[in-house]
Amino acid sequence: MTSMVAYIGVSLVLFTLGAIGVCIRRNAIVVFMCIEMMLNAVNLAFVAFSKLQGNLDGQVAVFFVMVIAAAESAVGLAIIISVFRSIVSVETTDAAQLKW
Amino acid sequence: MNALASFTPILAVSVGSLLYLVTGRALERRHRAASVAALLIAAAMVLLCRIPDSIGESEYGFVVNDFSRLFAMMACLGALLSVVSTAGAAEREGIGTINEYYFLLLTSLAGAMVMVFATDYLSLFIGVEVASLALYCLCGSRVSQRSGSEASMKYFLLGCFSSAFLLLGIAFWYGATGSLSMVVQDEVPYNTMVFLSFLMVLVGMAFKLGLAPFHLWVPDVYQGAPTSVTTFMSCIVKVAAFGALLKVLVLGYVYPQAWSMSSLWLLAALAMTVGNLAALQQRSVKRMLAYSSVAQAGYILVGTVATAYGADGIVASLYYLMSYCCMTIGAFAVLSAVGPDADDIAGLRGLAKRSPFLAGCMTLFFLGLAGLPPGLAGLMGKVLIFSEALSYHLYGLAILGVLNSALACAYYFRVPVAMYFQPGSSDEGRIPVTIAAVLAIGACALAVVLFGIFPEPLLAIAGKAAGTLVGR
Repeated sequence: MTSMVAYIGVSLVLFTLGAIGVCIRRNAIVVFMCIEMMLNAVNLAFVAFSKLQGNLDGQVAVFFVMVIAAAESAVGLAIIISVFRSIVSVETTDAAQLKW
Repeated sequence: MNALASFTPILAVSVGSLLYLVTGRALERRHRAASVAALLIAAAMVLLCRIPDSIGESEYGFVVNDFSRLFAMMACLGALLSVVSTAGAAEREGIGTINEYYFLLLTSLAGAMVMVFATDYLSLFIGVEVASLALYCLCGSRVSQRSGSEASMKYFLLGCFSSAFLLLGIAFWYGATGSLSMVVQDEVPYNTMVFLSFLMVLVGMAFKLGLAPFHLWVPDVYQGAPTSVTTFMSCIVKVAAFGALLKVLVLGYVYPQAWSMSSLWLLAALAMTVGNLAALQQRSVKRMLAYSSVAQAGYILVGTVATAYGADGIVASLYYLMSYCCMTIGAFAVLSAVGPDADDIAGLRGLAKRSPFLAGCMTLFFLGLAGLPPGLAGLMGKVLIFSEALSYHLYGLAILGVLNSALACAYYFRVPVAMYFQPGSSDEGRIPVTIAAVLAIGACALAVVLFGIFPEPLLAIAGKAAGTLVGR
């Protein structure tokens, strides 16, 4: 049980770090990496809970999340490239044509 | 075999969308692509009517009942109206890849249907992602336009960020109950884990619905995306996310708990106020409608807060959602018909002379959004929502809602005034409108008026759907 707390703790720390990264970093690719870290933190939590609950549902969920993360990166990197083509930068602060 | 039957509407749309990828340029000529999309969606609607209700809990994480069928129907109808009304608009707006455009549009509809059928958090999450990933691409489908790719990047980053929160909420739910299903057999223990799970799922869903303070993507995406895409997403996203939210609240986190009530209360109040205040300052019509959609999502949520006490709140929310979809699709379809770049309010000046039909319909939609006659559906929806709130002693929300509706008139009137009373530049001739667009916009306008005069059939349908959801 104590080891379980450790797993969940690590997962939450990773998730929080990712969330902070999304909020403070300005480079779109770094922001995207932070989001991937959050997803993987959740994966860790799923696996730990799966062990705790004694069924495999959580581990199956991890596979689905991994596939979706892959799809997200395919789409996301394409979008970031298309932004780079038009403004020659991937800083989110430079993408400021649309505001208020 | 019977299990597969419930998937047929989704299969019709998703497998049908592959047509666009294999046929090459054959579909690109003369509205053929739009007609095929409309046919596929119509097929899905027919299948939706024909599939039998699932008996008990389906082990596939999919449940067909009156509730999910109504939401899927609304999503399909919205998609059909937007596809018909914007047929040919994609070419005009400079979206070079028509096949991919319709492929993504149908994929996104399939994802939305998965969202409303799912009773399993994993299916729900996959539905959310399928619908959103396709929409991220659609927003940036004008590759040459800077604003489009910018909107699509913001939507993508914020969307994935919120999905991570949704997923963490699902993980906590799994940790607390040991199952990924929304429906749990034994009593849900109310502990910190369930509370955190509720908050995280709510954040994820509030983002998809565009509720303040998670609405930051809404104006940028609505404005930056091509108008035909905005027409589509303004309805689909709201319907699917709202269906999913209701299911999660009622089936999963069995209402009412003091903390779940107060968080929803806060979200509704913030969304109404922030949306309306921000919309007051907009010069761009698309941006104004985007902020107005934030506020309208707040009104819809007021009905959901009242849901804590019974099915009547859901009925009011559902009615409002249906009438809102007609109005928002209509308004964006008119913008799309006026021209690819009709965005600034100055561009609509003198529209009454250039196209009386478009101007008349647009006025009707804006009056409906403001909740004034003859846009009676909007008025009826507001009356229903606020009377529900009052009857359950949610006085604060009701007063805030009525004040907000009055405030909103200030900006809703600006567009009709520009169309009728301000002269446009004289060199612009009449606007050619396709028959398909006339049909779709006319249908929306008719619905806005008729839903208000004869609300009983709609209320009966909504009542049946709400009954199935709550009765389980």
